[in-house]
Amino acid sequence: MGKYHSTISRRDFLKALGLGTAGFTGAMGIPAALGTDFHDLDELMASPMSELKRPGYVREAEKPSVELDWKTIQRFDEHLVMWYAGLRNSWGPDNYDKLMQKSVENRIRFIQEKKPGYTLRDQALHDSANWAPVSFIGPQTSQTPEELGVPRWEGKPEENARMIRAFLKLHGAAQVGFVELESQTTEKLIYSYDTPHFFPAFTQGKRLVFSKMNRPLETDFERFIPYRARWVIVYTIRMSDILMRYTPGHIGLAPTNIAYQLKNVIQGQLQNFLRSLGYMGLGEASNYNALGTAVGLGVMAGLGETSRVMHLVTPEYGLRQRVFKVITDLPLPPGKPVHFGVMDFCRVCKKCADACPVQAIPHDTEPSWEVRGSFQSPGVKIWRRNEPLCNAYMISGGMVEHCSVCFGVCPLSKGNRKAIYHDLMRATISNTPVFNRFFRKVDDFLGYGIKADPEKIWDMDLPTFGWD
Amino acid sequence: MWFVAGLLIGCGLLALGYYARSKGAGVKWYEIVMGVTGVILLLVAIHDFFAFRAEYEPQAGWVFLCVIGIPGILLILLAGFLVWFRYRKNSVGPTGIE
Repeated sequence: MGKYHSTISRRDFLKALGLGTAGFTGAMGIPAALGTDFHDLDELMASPMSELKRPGYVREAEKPSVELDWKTIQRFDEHLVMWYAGLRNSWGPDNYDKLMQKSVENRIRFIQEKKPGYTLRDQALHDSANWAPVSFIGPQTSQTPEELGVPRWEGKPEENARMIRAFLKLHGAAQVGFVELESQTTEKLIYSYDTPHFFPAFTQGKRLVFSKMNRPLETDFERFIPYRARWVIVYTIRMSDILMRYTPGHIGLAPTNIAYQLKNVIQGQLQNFLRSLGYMGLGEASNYNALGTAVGLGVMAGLGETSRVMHLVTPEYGLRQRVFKVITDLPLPPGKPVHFGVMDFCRVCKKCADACPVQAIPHDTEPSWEVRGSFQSPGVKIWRRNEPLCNAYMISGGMVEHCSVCFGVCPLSKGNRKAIYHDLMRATISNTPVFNRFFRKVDDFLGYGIKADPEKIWDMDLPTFGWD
Repeated sequence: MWFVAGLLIGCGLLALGYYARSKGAGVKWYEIVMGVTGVILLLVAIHDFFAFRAEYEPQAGWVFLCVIGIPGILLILLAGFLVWFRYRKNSVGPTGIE
């Protein structure tokens, strides 16, 4: 009998929860529009949704393709990143204030000039953001097994992984992986201080403390993570390929905003789901990134590789997804890093660096251990963007938080992989770097890249969420 | 779609083979390789033409159709021409009269 073997059947467990055979899908609040109907958790876990199917050219490895020095890596204070204090620290308070002033002026001027991508309706698209409440401990609105008088869910890590993956995909996630927290390595990917939550903010957020407590706790200054919560659920939400080609501007920013807003909804649902099973789900207490480094956890979960633009590249969507995380005490099998040729491709492609409007992406062939400032974490051999320049450009564009030109031009970022060419290209670069330069040229030749006339999207027959 | 395309192409090739044999025209191995390669290239070009259009990348579709599809058509035509040319050559008697 396995360590995690359940003493009650899953069917009985669900009956005890009142879900029984009355329609699991409906009971879980899963939209009928998804066209799925599962009668119980067994069916859900046996469905293809519960698997992370990777293309055949993706290879698992013991170490990530990026070089790491775990001794140098320390838990990072998130308030230092460029989105919070980093920009003002880099430019100085006076220049920062001028930048913000310019941002407001440009925002209005662009509307008046009807600049494509910045018109009033584009601005309205940006300002339509409506954020569901999000917190570290979660909504706490579902009933726990204790409240119901039933034992908590017990399953083997592999079973749990299938369940969580199926649950998250049903609610809108694209890819799901898992990281086990180990004190000398992956635990360092959890921030020392969490996000200040509001943007812009120049002070530290709450301290994230691993504690011997049995339950998580949040005070005015700290968030306590019980040591028994050893697993991180890392999941992604897709960004629209169609809209990403109309960057920079509010149209190109929309996929980012949509993904982050969806995250707030999905995270709360996942936290409630875990709570109903008898486990904790410790989420990101911010509308944006929080809790831990998204790229690092994504790499260690085996979702993708890091890239020239310091973002995660996955085999399925390239750069075009956002990465989110929830810490839990539900036992889960840790993923292994994957290799599919991204680092080698980034060495020679440099399309993002060529296209960057302010040349903030380095053209160096080899990555470096050097950091550009306190806003970056040392111990990782990567290409590092000139983030002060990058973010200053974005903000001067009228409070556009993301320029995303690099996301728009990346040859690996093709979410719609109906064309045989895309898989042929990925399979080739995964196995040999010889044709990398050729594929960059083919990408140019095919006309991929940033498109003019972003206003066109308002007349398009767009797919739901822009996910084609 | 691939099933139907494969079925049609398979039937077509079979019919072509029977027809060629009935006329006494043999097909060399390199003609088969050229013909099959041409058909594959043409199919991929047509498939990706529509796939790129579905991605809202019509330029990529047209470029791919020209760069992959035209060589595919040329290979098919070349294979067909070689078979036809040999058939013509073999069917002409020593006197030059068919």
